[in-house]
Amino acid sequence: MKRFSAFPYRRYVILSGFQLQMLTVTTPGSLLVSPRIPLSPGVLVGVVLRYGIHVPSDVNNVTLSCQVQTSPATLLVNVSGKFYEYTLKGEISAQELNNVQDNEMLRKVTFDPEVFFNILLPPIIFYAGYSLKRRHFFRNLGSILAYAFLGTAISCLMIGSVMYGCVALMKVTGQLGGDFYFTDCLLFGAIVSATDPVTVLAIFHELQVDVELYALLFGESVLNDAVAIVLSSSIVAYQPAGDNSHTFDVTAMFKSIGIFLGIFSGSFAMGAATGVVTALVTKFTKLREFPLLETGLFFLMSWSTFLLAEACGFTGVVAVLFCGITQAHYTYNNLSTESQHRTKQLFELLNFLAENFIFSYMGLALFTFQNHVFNPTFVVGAFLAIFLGRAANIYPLSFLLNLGRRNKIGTNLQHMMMFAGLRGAMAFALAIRDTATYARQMMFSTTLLIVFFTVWVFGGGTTAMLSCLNIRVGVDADQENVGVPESERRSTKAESAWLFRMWYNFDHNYLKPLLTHSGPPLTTTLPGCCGPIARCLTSPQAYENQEQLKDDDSDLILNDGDISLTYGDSTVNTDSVASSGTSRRFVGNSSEDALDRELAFGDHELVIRGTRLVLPMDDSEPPSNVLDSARHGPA
Amino acid sequence: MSLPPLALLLLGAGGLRAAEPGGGGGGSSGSSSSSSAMEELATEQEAEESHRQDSVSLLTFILLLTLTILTIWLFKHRRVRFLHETGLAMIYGLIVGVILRYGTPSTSGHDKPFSCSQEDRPFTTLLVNVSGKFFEYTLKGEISPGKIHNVEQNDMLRKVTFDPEVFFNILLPPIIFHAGYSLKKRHFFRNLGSILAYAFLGTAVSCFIIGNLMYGVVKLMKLVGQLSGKFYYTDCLLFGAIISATDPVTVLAIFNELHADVDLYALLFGESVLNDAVAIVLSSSIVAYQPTGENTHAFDAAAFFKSVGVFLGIFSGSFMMGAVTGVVTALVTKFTKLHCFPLLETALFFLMSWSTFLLAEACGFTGVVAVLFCGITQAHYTYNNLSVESRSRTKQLFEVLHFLAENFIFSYMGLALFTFQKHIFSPVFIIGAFVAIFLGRAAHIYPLSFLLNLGRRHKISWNFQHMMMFSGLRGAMAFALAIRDTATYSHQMMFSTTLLIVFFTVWIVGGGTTPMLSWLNIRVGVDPDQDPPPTNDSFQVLQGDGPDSERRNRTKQESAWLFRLWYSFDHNYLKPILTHSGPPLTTTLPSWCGLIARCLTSPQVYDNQEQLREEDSDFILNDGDLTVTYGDTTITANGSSGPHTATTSLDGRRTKSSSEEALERDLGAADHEVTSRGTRLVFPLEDNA
Repeated sequence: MKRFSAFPYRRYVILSGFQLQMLTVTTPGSLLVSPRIPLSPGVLVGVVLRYGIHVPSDVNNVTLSCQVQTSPATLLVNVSGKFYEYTLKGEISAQELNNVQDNEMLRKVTFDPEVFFNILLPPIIFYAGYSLKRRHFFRNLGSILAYAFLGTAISCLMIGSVMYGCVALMKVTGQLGGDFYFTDCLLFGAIVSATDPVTVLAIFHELQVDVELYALLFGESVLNDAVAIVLSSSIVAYQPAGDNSHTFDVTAMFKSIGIFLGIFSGSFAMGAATGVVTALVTKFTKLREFPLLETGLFFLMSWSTFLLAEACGFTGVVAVLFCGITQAHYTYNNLSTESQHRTKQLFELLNFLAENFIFSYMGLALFTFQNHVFNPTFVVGAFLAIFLGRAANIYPLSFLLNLGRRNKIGTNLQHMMMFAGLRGAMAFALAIRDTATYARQMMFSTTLLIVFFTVWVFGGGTTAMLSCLNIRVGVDADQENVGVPESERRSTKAESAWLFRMWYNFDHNYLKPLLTHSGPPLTTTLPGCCGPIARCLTSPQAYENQEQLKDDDSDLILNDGDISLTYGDSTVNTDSVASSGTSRRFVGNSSEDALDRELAFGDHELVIRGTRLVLPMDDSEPPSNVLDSARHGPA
Repeated sequence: MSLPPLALLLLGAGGLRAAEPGGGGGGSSGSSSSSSAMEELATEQEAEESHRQDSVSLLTFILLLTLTILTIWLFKHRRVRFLHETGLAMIYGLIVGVILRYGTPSTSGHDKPFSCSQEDRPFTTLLVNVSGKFFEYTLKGEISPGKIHNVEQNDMLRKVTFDPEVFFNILLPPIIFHAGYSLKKRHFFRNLGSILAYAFLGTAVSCFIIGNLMYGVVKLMKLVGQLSGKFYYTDCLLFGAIISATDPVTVLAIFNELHADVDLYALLFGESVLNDAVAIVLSSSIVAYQPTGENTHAFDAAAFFKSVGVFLGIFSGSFMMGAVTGVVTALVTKFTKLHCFPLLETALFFLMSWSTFLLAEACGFTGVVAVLFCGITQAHYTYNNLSVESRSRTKQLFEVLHFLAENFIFSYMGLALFTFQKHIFSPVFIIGAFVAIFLGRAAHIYPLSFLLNLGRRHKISWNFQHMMMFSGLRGAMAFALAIRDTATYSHQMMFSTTLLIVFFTVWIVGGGTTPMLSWLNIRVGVDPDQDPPPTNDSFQVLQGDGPDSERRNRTKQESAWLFRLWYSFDHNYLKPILTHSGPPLTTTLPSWCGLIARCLTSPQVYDNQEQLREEDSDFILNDGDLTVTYGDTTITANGSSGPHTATTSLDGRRTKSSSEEALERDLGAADHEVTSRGTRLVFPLEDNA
């Protein structure tokens, strides 16, 4: 479908309010905010609401003097003998006061920003974690982590500094109508550093662009969101002691860094823990006989991750991301086939609805949000800053990473990554979270413009950019290493860092057998002293797997129209040399071998399966072309 | 509570200036003093704290549901049938309720009632000026004077108490939609007359009987002095309407598992589904009964007829709304090639179904009722247009939503027994209510069955009647209706009593289903598609032409002319317009609309004419249960009629008779055809045949 690659569905949303997506707005919104008010969506609707409808709100200005000291959460008002209960909605800044009475309709379609964080973002982020292409993700783990953590930090600082310069300039020319501190600039940097190249990825996916590039971009954007959200909340938490609350303070900064680390690791632990609990539950019960119960449990456990993290003061969205990754890595293998489909499809649908909802809400917000502050200098400065920030993120890091990587990240890939720095739902949600002050309102308006621009222009230009940068297209997702057997395998081995290898061994030898039905039995991997425990934790299937030539749970996650092959757990495979490595003495070696095989040779093995599955869908090139291009391509 | 959406400005005129020496200078001045910064921080922390508490309370429910799922698995695994998952959810809810009630310290919220002389209208939005800062407050509801002290009692209890509208706006729609969507259409339509009679007449009868009995009970209570508040006749009728909503999920689940008689299943399920719709509209029209003049609780004919008008208006309006959105979805899915993208298709289906609810609510109708009829329409038409993947996706999606919502409601019920703070348990009232529901159910089932049996060939036998009498469980709908308004004394008493009735019926009656089935000697282990009860042996179904044609005749007699009319209309016009199946419109419509007909008929229909089997033969597969609808197969496996139809339905003149035949075949012979398939599909799942 060429039409779709040129016009990804998302752009319909913002441009025209395509009927389907219009409904998306009507639906969750009106239920959550005001069950009985019909909401009208889309940008067009936004315009209509803004300029077409004038609901005359009859306002009674009652001047009352009451002795209230604080703002309690609940208020009881005695109206001529009857008591009415009021709940606190929020603080209203003074200039907003007049807007309150303006247009009731506009106020109705403006949601509480927390809706995004509590209802719309979790399914999106969870699905991103759950559908991560794990094999490629783990192979590029080092690079992805570097881009996500270091890169986001660099980009945040870079954008913050550039914006501070811009703000200083505005102050000189007298264009600034309120306060704008350095922390605000940094916050803007954090907000706008959350990239979300869904549009680009959708096109990549359709055109079957280079898998490495896909994995890098997708992995970066997923982790990026998590980093940006924690970063922004730790910047908000930066509150220097004393009177000068907007100067630099070392202790406050270290406290902020501490908060960053604490929240991030806490959320990570929370997500991983619930994922592990779900895996254990699904492993040790026979829940798989009832797919409905299984799906229900899976859904509830994943949701409870979010709530648990929020209840403990961590960030729910980040926890959900890691929960999704854990669920995909362990629990998915324990589910029955039907539940695997069901969970995939359920979260796919939720992700689709939530994402389109957010994007159509963005279109709406451009007109219905009442406190926009559009400042040309700031907007131009911001565009410049995100460009510079993205460049400072990608190029130096790629250079550094290429020093260590065998399979270099080519210049054209770097340009593409630079180009694919779209901003999306996360940036919007972060920006809309707090629009109380002048600085925040200006940030919000600018973020909105940046999202529009990047989604429309960059998103639309992806196909052109791909051909311009000469990036391979129509690559079979799992064929890239065929025919480059020995040297390539070595290089893959060298590439994977020792940290990753250690993790892989641990995962393969202990976690997989403990949490799923696959992997070598624990009795062979654990030391002899824990024999009884090992025996009771290993599922009987694990022993059988030893004998089988093919696992039944070989980590295949089938998207529709796409197969993502993960690094398989097959301890026994077609490689006859290594198949003797099951005895306890050689566990270390054998798992190393397994890693090798899975990273390099595993491709080969999977290709044999992959070609059977993939080729029917792949209509562009016969495999021989791919072989050629693979030889010419990266090396 | 329909307050006009007004914004009220409550400008604090500086009564706080004394308390705050330098802070009145306006919020946006750059030099924010440290005290206001502290205050801001405090507000932020408060909001954070409240968010955290919300998370905890929601988490409690989710863990409850998780626990329920695990235990249910254990029960299913060990084939324990005396306790359904909903009953179990209630038990867990009860336990948590006890813990919350007696285990947590009662921390009082720091909200102080402050009295302001004001206009005599409450406003939806309140702006309060607290030392130069404006805070926005939204109206939550009216509080009766007696409750004011309770408000401060226990924050945690208040947190786990939901706004009752949540049930109607979020939890009930998926349940009801799923009920409509998974209706066994063939058996439903075959028993349509009886089901409608039970649902409409029966519910009205039961509502009146219960109302009158309860009025007697209330009178008695007044005599012995046990009544400490007002209780009018309309309240009694409202109670009757609330408690008439039966919800035999538990029984149906067991029927499903044991493969009990399909006709009984269809009767019960159809009744309970429509019942809910009738009860909800009935209760809202009773609430709408507001006689003019001073004596607001005396009988007033005008007000009464207005109530009846409201009932009819809301019901037909909601019905139309649901049917229309269903039809629109069917048209959209028919005329677009959306089925190439199952994800988009599923999303559209979901959104359209949801929009039904919102549309109906926005127009002032009842969303839940609209959703029910939307579900039925979707299953009848749209389902045929969906791609195979979307079919299973939508089924599974709504199944999961239904499952979660239902268990959530039931666990909330358990919780509410302890956490709801205004319970009024009056023994006399409760005993009276139990007697009343028993009598009401009896007055509903037995006379109606007698009347229906006069017209039915295939009688509803005594044991069926007893079973229907027995399975008058009350469930989610009764609870939701009762909790909707708990402002007055009478409503609180009704709520507490409803809660007890739900508990009792779900545990005792639900638990007793299996013994009751064997005691009443009801056939168990019936293949869902063998239903015309074989008199001697079950092999009769597979026999040749003799009994088959006889049965076909009988089925023909049974279905009323209204239904036949509808069927032929549906078959000849609606199905071809809305789906890819049925005879082409060009043959069924008169020739002068040939152009329109050609443009509305999908090309596939012509192909279908040729094919021996249609790809969209209305099969809805639940897991563990095979639902066979009355198929659209114009050409069946029945050898004798196969070539016959192929020729006749191409002939435009004889459509009428051919559709009649199609109906017969669907009702009678389609059984035959389906049985041979059914045995292959169903028997592996059946473990005690």
